[in-house]
Amino acid sequence: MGSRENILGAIASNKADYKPLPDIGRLPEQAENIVNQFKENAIFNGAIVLEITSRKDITDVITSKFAAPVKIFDCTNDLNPLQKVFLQPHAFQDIDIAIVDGRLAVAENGSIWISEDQLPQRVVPFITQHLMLVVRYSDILPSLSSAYAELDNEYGYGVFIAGPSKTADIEQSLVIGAHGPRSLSVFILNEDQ
Amino acid sequence: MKDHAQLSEIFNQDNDRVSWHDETLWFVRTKRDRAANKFPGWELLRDAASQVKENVLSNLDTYLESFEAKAIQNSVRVHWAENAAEHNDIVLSILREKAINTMVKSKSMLTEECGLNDFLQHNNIEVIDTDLGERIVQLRNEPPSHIVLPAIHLKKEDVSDTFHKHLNTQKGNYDAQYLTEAARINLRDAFLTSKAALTGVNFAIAETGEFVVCTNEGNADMGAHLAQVHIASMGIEKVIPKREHLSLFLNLLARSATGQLITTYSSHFKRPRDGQEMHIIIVDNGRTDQLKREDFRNSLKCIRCGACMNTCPVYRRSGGHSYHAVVAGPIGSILAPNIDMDKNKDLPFASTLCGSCSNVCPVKIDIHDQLYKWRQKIVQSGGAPASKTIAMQAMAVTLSNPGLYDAVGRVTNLMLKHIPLAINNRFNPWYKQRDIPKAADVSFKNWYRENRKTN
Repeated sequence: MGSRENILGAIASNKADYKPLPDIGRLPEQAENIVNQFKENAIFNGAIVLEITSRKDITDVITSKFAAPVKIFDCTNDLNPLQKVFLQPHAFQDIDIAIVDGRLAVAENGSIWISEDQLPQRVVPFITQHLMLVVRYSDILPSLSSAYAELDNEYGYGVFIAGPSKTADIEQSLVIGAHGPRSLSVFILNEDQ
Repeated sequence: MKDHAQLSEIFNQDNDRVSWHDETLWFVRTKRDRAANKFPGWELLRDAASQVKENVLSNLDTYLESFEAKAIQNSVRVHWAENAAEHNDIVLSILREKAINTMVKSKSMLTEECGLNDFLQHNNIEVIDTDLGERIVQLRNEPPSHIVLPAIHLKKEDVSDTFHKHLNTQKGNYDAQYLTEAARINLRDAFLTSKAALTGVNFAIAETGEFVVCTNEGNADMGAHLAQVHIASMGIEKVIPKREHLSLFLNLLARSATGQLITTYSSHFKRPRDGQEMHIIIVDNGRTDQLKREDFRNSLKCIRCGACMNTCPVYRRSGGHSYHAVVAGPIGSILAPNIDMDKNKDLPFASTLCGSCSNVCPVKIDIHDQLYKWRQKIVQSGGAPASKTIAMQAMAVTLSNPGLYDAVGRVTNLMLKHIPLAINNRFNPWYKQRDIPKAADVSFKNWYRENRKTN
């Protein structure tokens, strides 16, 4: 017998008596003021949060915060199917700023979901020196539970991002910019205003 | 081999460091409390997560089969390993097939358990740990001392010396920002050149075949997304039924571990990217034995948050290395005897049984009860040291014989009064770090007898 059969066999003869799954539909969540809750929590995670009414505002922020020249990769704009074929992950090692559209945001923990459909390569939001995520006002949801209910199952890779990359492995001193982005800017896009 | 008490003595030689270790971990514990208290329905969350894990342990084979089938549909190659040696051989054969001789690795306690690094190095493959804490201890040739904070036993001066030696940083520069930046530059090079990356698995989803890896540094993603080959190693107990259950576990994990709301990255890997190979190795290595032991089965619910260590008064003052096991602290002390009871027979005694570990456990493992149960098993099988066995027997005889008890009490009192050195000496282990209390002038029994007569 192979290892697979041995392991599954050992589990079958050793496992506990059947216990049912709990109903997790009734866990409490905060429904009011979720945009504020999202902002507060994203800031707690170390993100910079800005409300904008148009994508043009992002360019203004970049010009005001970063001295030229900066290498920007705007996934919300520059992305086309050809790039997915030709650009290998290592091609992104020099980018300073990546701009990516978030699919949805979670108020209870200040995180944003992005999946590989929004990226030319999965490594982009990690290898960039600074990351900017754009999320629509109406895509802010109260909880992880509501987020999973909303997300389809089609992605090959997806990630919740909550803040810039960080570590506290040296004497518990918080250092921003471990291996990934040194900063995370979150733009809440509200085009109705 | 030195036992927990002896190894703790080594750690306790540096008083300031012990106090720092104790206070720092307690601070992490208070951050956990703040995060837990702010979350509406925290206890309901713990209940639900505990029940999901109990369901998993009652249906583990079916979930693993479903997970495997879905993962294969997703173009992932699935391997099964009964023990550490088989796991390591699988990793080696994947790397050999591609003629790869360098691999970056993000945090995986399972590979520590399997001794993967040493094995691969003996086979001329370089392994680079990329979690900052793990990189620090790897360069120092030490094991991690905590499952979430691998270098918590070290001070910035130690890290600075290590980095000066290996990464050529300035001698005497103790700035955490500077040291982290040096590691970032050094490891970025490793990420960009390594053709293989190994990650752990926090959660594997039976329903979809995807697996979730949680990091704050982004090192798992940097490695996996740049490498041609991604290997993910998981223990059989990591599978959960449905994706929606992640809402429980992702809410509990980081809050319990560090007081964060969620880790910076919660990465969901389902399919390899174009041109990439993705492998999953499902490892038993003693877990099905633990599953068989009804009293200890629940330890397999653990999600490796480390909350039980941060709260443990013994762990905080003895340090992770005193546990001489891959996983230290309370949870490690119930996992390790499962693998080798004789070698780890001291660990269930490295506890005050105060129960704080069980109170903070996000999946409600009855840790302190299991510690107590292991003690009983160990003593019954003759694993207690002779000195303890004799002392316990003497105590049993004395306590069951009132005349003898009185006599011993009188003699002890007299000795404490007139020759305290006979008891307060270094041959009495109780005297270490403690003073024997002053003897009372009169025993309670005599006092009662006197006062009852007069009143």
